[in-house]
Amino acid sequence: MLNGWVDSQYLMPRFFFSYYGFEWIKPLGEVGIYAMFIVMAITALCVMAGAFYRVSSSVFFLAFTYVELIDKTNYLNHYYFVSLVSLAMIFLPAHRHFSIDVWRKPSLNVSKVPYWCILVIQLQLALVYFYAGVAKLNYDWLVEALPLRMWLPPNAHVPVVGSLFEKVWVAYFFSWFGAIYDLTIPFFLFYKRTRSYAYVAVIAFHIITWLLFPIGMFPFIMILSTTIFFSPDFHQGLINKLRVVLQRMGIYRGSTPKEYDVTTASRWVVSFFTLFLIVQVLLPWRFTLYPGKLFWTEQGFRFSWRVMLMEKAGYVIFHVKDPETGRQWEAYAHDHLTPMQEKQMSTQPDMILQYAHFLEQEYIKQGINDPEIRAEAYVTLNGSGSRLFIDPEVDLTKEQDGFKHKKWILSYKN
Amino acid sequence: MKQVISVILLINLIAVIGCSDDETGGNTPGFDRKAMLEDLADNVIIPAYDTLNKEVITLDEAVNAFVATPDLSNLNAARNAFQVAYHAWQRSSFWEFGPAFDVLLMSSVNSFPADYISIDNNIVTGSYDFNTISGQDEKGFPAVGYLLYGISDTDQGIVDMFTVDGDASNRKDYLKAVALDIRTRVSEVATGWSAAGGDYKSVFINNDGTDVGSSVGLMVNELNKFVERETRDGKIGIPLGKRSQGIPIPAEVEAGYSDLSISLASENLKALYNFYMGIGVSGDKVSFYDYLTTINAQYNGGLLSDAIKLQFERAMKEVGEIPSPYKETVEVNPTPAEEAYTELQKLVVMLKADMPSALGVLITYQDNDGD
Repeated sequence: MLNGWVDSQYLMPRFFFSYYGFEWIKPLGEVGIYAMFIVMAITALCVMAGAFYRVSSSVFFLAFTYVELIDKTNYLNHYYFVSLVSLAMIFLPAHRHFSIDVWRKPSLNVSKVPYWCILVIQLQLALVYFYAGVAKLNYDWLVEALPLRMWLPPNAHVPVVGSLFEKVWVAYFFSWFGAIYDLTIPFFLFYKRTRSYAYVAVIAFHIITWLLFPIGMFPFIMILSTTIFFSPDFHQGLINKLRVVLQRMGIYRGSTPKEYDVTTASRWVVSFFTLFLIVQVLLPWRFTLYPGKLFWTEQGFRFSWRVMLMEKAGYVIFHVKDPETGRQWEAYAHDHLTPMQEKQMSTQPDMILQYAHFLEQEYIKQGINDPEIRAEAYVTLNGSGSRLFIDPEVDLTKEQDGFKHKKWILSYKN
Repeated sequence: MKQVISVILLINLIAVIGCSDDETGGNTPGFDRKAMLEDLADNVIIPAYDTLNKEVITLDEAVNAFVATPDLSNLNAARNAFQVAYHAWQRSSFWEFGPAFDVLLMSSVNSFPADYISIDNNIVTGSYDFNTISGQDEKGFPAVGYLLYGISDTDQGIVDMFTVDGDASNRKDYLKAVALDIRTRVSEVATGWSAAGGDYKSVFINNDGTDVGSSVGLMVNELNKFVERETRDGKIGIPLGKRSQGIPIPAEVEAGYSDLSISLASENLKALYNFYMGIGVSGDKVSFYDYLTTINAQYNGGLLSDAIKLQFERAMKEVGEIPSPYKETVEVNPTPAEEAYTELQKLVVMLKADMPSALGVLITYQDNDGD
């Protein structure tokens, strides 16, 4: 918020790429968006302290997800992860022990929760890792060590180990290690005897990726989330230490917990979580319903834990024609978009279509009744060289967004 | 159990590395970015700024001589100095970072077309401020061009505007002020790079990563932005009507009064090519062409470095073939300009999509949280 990030992502853009089906989500303007971030910060603290838990966790989930849904330019797998976990947490009794709610109302205090409450989060994390691993099982990643072969050499100036990043075998090692790590780490975390080794691996893996790639908060979210796999004794130990501190400060009031009342977990909650997990298991496979190369078309790409998988860049020329005068001219991304939006749009067909529709509306406002807009787009995938991406003959103003296959995406030519 | 799995995985890993080690022989060829930055600074960038600095001093002096004695001979001398300096500018205009960024060099010395109405008004009132954003098209080379070529139909008429015209005295002051503003800013940039001055050269050479703020990142982003918005759009496309619903705008050409548009565009493109190739005062040294070749960047079956070189050559040829004056070409004979535009367009795609991707340079101007 302080480094102008809110401004550049949510205030500067003149146009926002809404998610299909969520077009009704609109940005709130300066006061609104900052208020939303403040609400998020306050409710996050409340959730952490277990204060007014159901309300604060619900509000946090709504605020976070709302901001996330404003513009798909900012889509990140770990934002999606935060949304999912905060949705799940609304229905979990995470405030029923060592919390402000218990302090306010000691009768809430319980010493145990049913295992499914923990398991839901553990499974969600396991799915993230596992599917991130499945996504790596492709020809470029495993056989060509791409895109790591392109991404590692620029790190050659790192002290001591830097020169290693220029070795091809290192790119292979990272590719294979990454894939194997993602696929297996959930099992090692579940299995008690390997858990502590696995956690060391989690920390090492995420710190290395954090040092090498611009992936922001993601490594830390994963490192901290993964502690959910630790035994209850570990967490109880932390709580006990914290309790001592609070007692010394004289602001702790104890109450005797009762065992969790299992009957309070309604069938609805259990059904909800079952459905939640089924959707999570199935969603990453929806790409199989579309023809063509997934990394090229990106149909069914999002919400599937495909993290740092490809090097993709593009450039789009929008050819505009006024059929009434026969005149032709051009429009570009930078006319209306921020650099970040431009970068994201240039390689994603649904966003190219959205921008074409936005341009259509702009020209209609300027008095051109029926503009025709065609996209001459070039994309390079994993350093193969830019090639034509969108059928340049198709008038995009006549095409609709949706879950159906977009026939105007050209197939990837080797 | 765990050991068994580990051993199996390790064997797989070794097997894969063993059999898919291809033509690169196990090594991504190393590239010394720092050496490239040194070459670019010493061979291309600093000499270009030094030449520009020298030529704008000559321009300032020629303008002062003309203002002191406004006659046809001094007008011609000033125009010659203007042409030489404007061409020198085309060879040093695409590094808008560091010292150039600090003095807003590009928008200060070359916001075209000149706003001649405001310039005339400034001269009449005698009050103007060259440090405002809105005043940027009231000064720089475009304003000098207007005052030396555009204020009358004949050369004698122009001299008269500096002698017998009612605002002659104010006009002299204005021309001198414009020339001095160019001189001052260019001088700051040249000094900013020199070891004796701001020594940005050291900063530049030591900033040898590939992140957004690194020298490579800055140059790649400035290069593609410049070719896209200045060379393709500003010099060729906008006058051609590419951004105005297909209606040509002759008044938007660069150097419209002096009719230097195509000569300047060619000079600019040639300089961009030389920068890309590393060609400078000491011959052909290391630059992006060599960088892309060394890392074996691919372009649809060939080398990306060669593809960009070839595309530069095609664009230079087509731009060179556009008939002058460009302000007439865009209306009476747009086909050669359309052809040049198409070649520039292809160059932009390579410089903005392929090149940053191959070099691992982020094209955004902010931190990317991204996956």
